Amino acid sequence: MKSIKGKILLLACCLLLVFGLFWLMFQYFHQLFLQQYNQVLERYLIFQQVSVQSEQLLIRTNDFIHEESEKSKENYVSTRSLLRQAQSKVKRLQNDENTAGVSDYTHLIDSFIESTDLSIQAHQQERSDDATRFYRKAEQGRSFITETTLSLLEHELTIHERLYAQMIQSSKELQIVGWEGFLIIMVILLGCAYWISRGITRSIAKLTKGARFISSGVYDKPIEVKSKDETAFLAQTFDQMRISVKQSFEELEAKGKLEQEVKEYQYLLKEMEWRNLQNQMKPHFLFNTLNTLAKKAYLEGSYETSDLITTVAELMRYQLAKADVEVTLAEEIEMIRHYMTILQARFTDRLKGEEKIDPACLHVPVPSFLLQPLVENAFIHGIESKEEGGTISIGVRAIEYGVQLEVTDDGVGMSPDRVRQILQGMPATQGKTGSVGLSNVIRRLSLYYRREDLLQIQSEAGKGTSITIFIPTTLGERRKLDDSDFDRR
Amino acid sequence: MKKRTILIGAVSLACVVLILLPIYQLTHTYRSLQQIHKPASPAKETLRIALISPAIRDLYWKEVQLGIKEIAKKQQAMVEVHGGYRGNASEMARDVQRVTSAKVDGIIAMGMDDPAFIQAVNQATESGIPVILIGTDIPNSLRKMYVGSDHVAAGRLLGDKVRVDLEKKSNSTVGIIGQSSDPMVAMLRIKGVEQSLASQKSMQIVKQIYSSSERNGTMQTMSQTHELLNRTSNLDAIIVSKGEELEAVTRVIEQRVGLNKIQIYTFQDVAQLTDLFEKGQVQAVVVDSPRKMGVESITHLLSWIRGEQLPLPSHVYTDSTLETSTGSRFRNEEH
Repeated sequence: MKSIKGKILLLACCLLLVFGLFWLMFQYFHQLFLQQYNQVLERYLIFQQVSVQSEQLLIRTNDFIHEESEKSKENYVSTRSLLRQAQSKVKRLQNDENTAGVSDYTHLIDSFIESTDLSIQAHQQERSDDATRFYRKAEQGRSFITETTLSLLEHELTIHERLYAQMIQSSKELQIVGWEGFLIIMVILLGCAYWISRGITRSIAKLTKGARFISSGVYDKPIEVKSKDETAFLAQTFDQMRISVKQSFEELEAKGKLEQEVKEYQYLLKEMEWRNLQNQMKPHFLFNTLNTLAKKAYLEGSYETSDLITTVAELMRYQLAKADVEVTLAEEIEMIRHYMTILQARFTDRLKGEEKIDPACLHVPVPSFLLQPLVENAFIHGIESKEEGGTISIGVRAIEYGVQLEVTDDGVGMSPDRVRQILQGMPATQGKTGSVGLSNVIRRLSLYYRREDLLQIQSEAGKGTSITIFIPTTLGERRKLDDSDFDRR
Repeated sequence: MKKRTILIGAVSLACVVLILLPIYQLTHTYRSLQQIHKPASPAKETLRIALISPAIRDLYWKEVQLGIKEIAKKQQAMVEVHGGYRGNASEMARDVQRVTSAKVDGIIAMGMDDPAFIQAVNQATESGIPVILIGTDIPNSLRKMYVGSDHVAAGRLLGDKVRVDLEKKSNSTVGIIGQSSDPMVAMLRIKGVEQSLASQKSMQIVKQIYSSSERNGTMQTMSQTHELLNRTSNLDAIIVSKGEELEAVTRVIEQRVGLNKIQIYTFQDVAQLTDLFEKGQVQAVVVDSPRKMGVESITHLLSWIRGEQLPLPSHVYTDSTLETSTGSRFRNEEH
């Protein structure tokens, strides 16, 4: 997880590392320089020590020769050991260039000490001539030491001149390195700052854009933030929010639409009911009157008339009772037969009815008044205006996934434009009643089954019209759901 | 995404280079700093040989040094060169004393006929340090050995040349100029010349022997040459016993009679002879072999110190060759 915290920590670590590296480097070289200076000083000190101690030893020897005492002897011995110490350090001064000089130097000190020793010895043995002679030799030795010291120092100085030049060069280089370090740290700092801030700002910019879309009501734009830090989490949550808002919004929309549809359906039903109610007054009166008429006709011996009147009354009763109820196809067909009987009574020779019904389909539920408007339509527009009359045939056939109803007439037929108009629900230009009936059927079908393609019209001017309705039978589920919807309301 | 990776890679590479570059620089610096005070590689106890010369920049001596160093390098001995640029006997003596005090393993020195020098040589020998003299022998010192030309033989060589050159001329006169204060070289050479010329009875020899002090050597040589020319009017040839005197002698002759009148013969001790040859002033020169001297002296010294050759021969003579202006040219080996 590359969180912002992690990034900042990483940056801090990087900087610390580089800083530390440079600090260590500088410290180290500082130490090295100090060491070098120290070494130079130490070397000078060794020379100085040798020079001073040899001088001292000569003085002590002289003191001893002139005034022999325990103290002077002690002095001599201690100085001698000091010179020996200095001599032992001389070896350290040796390098490839002054090997000869240094080995000369140590041997010169040896000879010098030998001479002073011999001088002391001679004095102790009371050979004063020898003592003086060795003392002179020691003096000479001392001057040789001084000379060699000088020449070695000279050599040393030439080396140190180089050393100083080198040191100056090094300090210049260190300065450059310092600048380079500064540069590196700058680069790292800027780079990391850019990296981190870009990670954040880019994510935030995307979030802002997403928020703007949401605020303006666009919920389809997904919010994608590719970074791996906290903003990614934020973006993810934000996106989730967008999705759930979108979902609930869609749900709301769907519900609204459904409600609207239900309302429309109810409205249509109401309209039908209202029409029925409006008509009920007349029909009830008519129904009663028809029954009275039927009985009267029967009593008067006109049985045929009595039957006809009874059929009309039956039809009326069906219409009154089943206005907004689902009926079986059998009932609907029965009603159509009554209707046909009446029509045939009216137009005895001109109208012929035909039925081609598959009895297996009769149990299928259908909306009431599904076929009657079609038959009415077929009669009014197809056959009534035809002088020689015609045939209306009704077919019921089981097909795959449903039942096919067919109302066919061999009347005047329709133009294709008119067919299209009817299918699109356009108001009819002629004969108000029939058209309303047909478009009412179409609308109800589509609301009832939630399909638009159930009704088909095939018509040819002069040859007749055939209206086909497909009733799906695999809609048990859907029906139930719709019922519950209605119940809820 | 790929572009970004490349960018990051490039930036980090640059950073690494930026960091490594100074580190590389500094390690370099560090190394060179360390180098300065690097202690000497633990050297084996090598033999320390002191070479003492009054004129260490002299070409003659450079040749000697070359010979010595060549062998010393082969046998892994350490040679320290001491001496001045125009050194005198007392300085030489002090140098010998100093190296004695510094307990070197051997001394090779140019011989000097000077009491202080001789004493210093003797002291060194007493302290157990072998001394080999080259160029000039001092037989009465306690030196271990002499390596150099046999001056008598060299004189004889030059004398022979003079004799041959003047054979056709009857009653020829030959002048010899030399310092009595230089008995070990000049006198020996004159002795050799005289031995050679003695067979030519008709030849007249005029010797101008003088004692010179170091301070006004050139002036003295010039006055002595004048005197020689005064003594004899018809000098055919002049033999200059030391190379150093040649310049003064030629100058006087040039002034008095002209260089083409008198033929000059000399011994090679100095380097300017090339010029003299080119001008045709010098007829013939006896040349020593300084490099050979160096080689011989160091070889013998080292073998004695290592106990390989006991005792040393008292002297080893190196070749002297005659160079003439008409014959082979003087070898001028500059190193």
